[in-house]
Amino acid sequence: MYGKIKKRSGIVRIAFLLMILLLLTGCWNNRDLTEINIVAGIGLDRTEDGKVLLTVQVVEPAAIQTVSSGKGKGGGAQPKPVFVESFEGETVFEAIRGILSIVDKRLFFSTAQVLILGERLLQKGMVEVLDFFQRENDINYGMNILVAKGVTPGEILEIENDMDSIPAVYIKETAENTVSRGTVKKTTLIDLIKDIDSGERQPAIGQITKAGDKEIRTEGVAVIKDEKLAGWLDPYETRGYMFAIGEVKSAIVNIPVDKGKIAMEIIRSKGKAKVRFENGEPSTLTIKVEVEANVGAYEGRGRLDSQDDLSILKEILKNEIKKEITQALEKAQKEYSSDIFGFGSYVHKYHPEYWKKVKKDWNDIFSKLPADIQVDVKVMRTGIIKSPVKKDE
Amino acid sequence: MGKVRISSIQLFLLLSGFLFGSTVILAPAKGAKNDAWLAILIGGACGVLLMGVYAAIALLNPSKTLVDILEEKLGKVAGTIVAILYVWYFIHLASLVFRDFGEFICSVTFPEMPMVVVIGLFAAVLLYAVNSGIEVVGRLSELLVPLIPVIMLIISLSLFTVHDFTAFLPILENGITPVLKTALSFITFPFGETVAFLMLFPHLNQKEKLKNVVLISAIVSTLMQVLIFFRDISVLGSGLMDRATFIPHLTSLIIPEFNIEPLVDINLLIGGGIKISVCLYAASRALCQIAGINDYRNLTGAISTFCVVLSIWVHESVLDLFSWTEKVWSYYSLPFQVFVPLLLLLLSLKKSKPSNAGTANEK
Amino acid sequence: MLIVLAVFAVLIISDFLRFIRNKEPAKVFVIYTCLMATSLSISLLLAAGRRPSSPAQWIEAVFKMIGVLE
Repeated sequence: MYGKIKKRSGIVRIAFLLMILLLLTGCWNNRDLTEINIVAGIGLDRTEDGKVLLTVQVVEPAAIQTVSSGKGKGGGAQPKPVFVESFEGETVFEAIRGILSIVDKRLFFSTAQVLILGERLLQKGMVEVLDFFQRENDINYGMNILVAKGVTPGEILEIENDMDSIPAVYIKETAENTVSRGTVKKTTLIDLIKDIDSGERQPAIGQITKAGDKEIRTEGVAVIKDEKLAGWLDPYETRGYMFAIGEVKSAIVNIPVDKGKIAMEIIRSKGKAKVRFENGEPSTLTIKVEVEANVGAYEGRGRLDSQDDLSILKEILKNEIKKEITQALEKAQKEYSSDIFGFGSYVHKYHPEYWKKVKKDWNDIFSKLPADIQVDVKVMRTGIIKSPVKKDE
Repeated sequence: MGKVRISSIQLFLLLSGFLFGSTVILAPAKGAKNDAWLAILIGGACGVLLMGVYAAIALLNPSKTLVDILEEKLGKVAGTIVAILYVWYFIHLASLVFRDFGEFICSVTFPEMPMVVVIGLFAAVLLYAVNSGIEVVGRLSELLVPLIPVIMLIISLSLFTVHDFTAFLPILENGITPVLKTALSFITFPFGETVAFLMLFPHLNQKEKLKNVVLISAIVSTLMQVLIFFRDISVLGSGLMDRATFIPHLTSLIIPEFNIEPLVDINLLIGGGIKISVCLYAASRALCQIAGINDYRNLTGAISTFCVVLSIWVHESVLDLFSWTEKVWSYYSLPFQVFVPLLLLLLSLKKSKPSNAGTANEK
Repeated sequence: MLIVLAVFAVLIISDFLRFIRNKEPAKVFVIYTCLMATSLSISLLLAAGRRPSSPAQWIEAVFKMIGVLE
């Protein structure tokens, strides 16, 4: 009896183990790399009759391999590392599935590096089309978002570039190297969603233009108001805006001096936008920026060997940064009436009662408030040499 | 069955795992938005008291399970009826956790896998664990539950660079009422659900430590919840947090550069797994005791099958599930979690004075 | 539908074999059969696409009747 049971349980065990094999394959519908199209970049725009125009840049892994290994060998047409396709649809998701009528395999979006929004899309509002990207489970929330100025997203995605075999990666890298120039705002999907959600801060999205047949340029930002495109900031205004919200990591600011120009390298920067209140009403917008800088290059004929010299530089740099911030703020206030600086968020957090009353009209109130901009500059070092070459002395 | 023993550290981990349970994906106090931390603290304080009540009941009735206590204090007939209701409650609870788990996996990890397969496979594993005995589940918790805080730490630390530490401001924007309401639902989910442990407390080998174990685990999990809340709101902001289906999962999606989203699944597997195993054990043990069956393993199969079927049947959609748990669950739970235990505590206090020696009729 | 039946058949047969081997009392069979019959009938209804109103709805209705919920 015992032996029989033992024998039977042995068979059951083997059957069970064999059944487990079936489960080890993983997901219900597993898809191999060869069965999907890896999306690198997405472009969204509207057609003239209001439909969503989706453009995708898809990577061909096989072609990339031949590009990188087959360079110099010559001969034969090399396959392109990416292809770009566009499709129209009433909704974003419809376009994504509809595009399969011209694309062979299903699109895989987790790998998307950039999402480029078209001007025409932003003129009508972008919130609706962004819903899909929040809801779908394989979208990367850290994806970069850019607004194409003067071109359509499709034209941007269609460029072919020698620096990187995948143009979308090239675009993303240029947007991310803003850490060393501060002239474009790196906007990720989550940043944008948070700004739209809160209603306390109007989004500002990095701007992308075409700089030639093979290059793009990411500089400046698109100012959004009430989910629609309000206007643009140029690179210097963008940098002022970035100083004010404390996003500048490093940047080069030129300052004029008596005999030439000095390029100051900002190495650290902190910025805070607050609102000063008097008797329960906002009285002034205050922007406080603390900057640490080094002398990067002295393109002129001067002396630079005492603390006094540095103090003068400090004053000039301070005014220069202040000027950029003022320009950005004035444009946001007077021209676009859009609180991209997030003053509203400060008001909501620290004066919730007042915020409740003015939530709807905050952008108008913001536009009328005077500003107090304080810039605190420290110039620490001058690099390997002190003074530049002396010629006339 | 009387020889089954779990150590105090195992009970501590079981309780903590149970308290984390589906809260690792559902962020229980989200109704209070920015003030959820306040609701968590208030609810946690009451939850600690409530769990103290359960511990006191267990201490006043040593080596008796919930069914024994009910039958002794309320009389044979009324006690049996209430006990059967408890069996139903444990089954329902287990099936809700199953459903949370299934909805989560089907929403984010395996969107095309039928939910019944997800739940069924999970149930098969848990059935095996429960059939191996509660000591095995206890030892399993020793192995797995410590992973939960480690995973949370990993996620929190990797998000350190994207934090906005003032996101929880302003405090009490909408007044105190939503906070109190949320606090109430936070007591019933997850603290009150530990009433299922009244079937387990008799197994603890060191009775004198019971109170400490219960209180410490409740306090620890309250503090963890507060930390998780601060992490989530500083990453997501209150607007997105309000719209998210599974908040902690969304938080883990935001981590820059690398993707550790499956760690959330692991947390849910551990926490939810322990919660379901405890509920399954409690339900089958209670049912067997009521019916006078010696071995609870005889019914675990039937009960877990029923749980799986119920979990599919009970709600139509994910939104139905959420709105029901938000609206009805706390009221539905109150009698099971608060009224009956309080009544039992009062009766135990009254009766324990004359004769302290209740005969142990544990099987 | 067939898969549901097959799964239930496997579960019930394996458990019944165990019960018979261990010579369990009749009440085990009774309770087990009750639970499994309920599960089977509900899952057949669900598989057929006719979802009966669920306990969650009953509970909600009861609370509405008492007046706890509105």
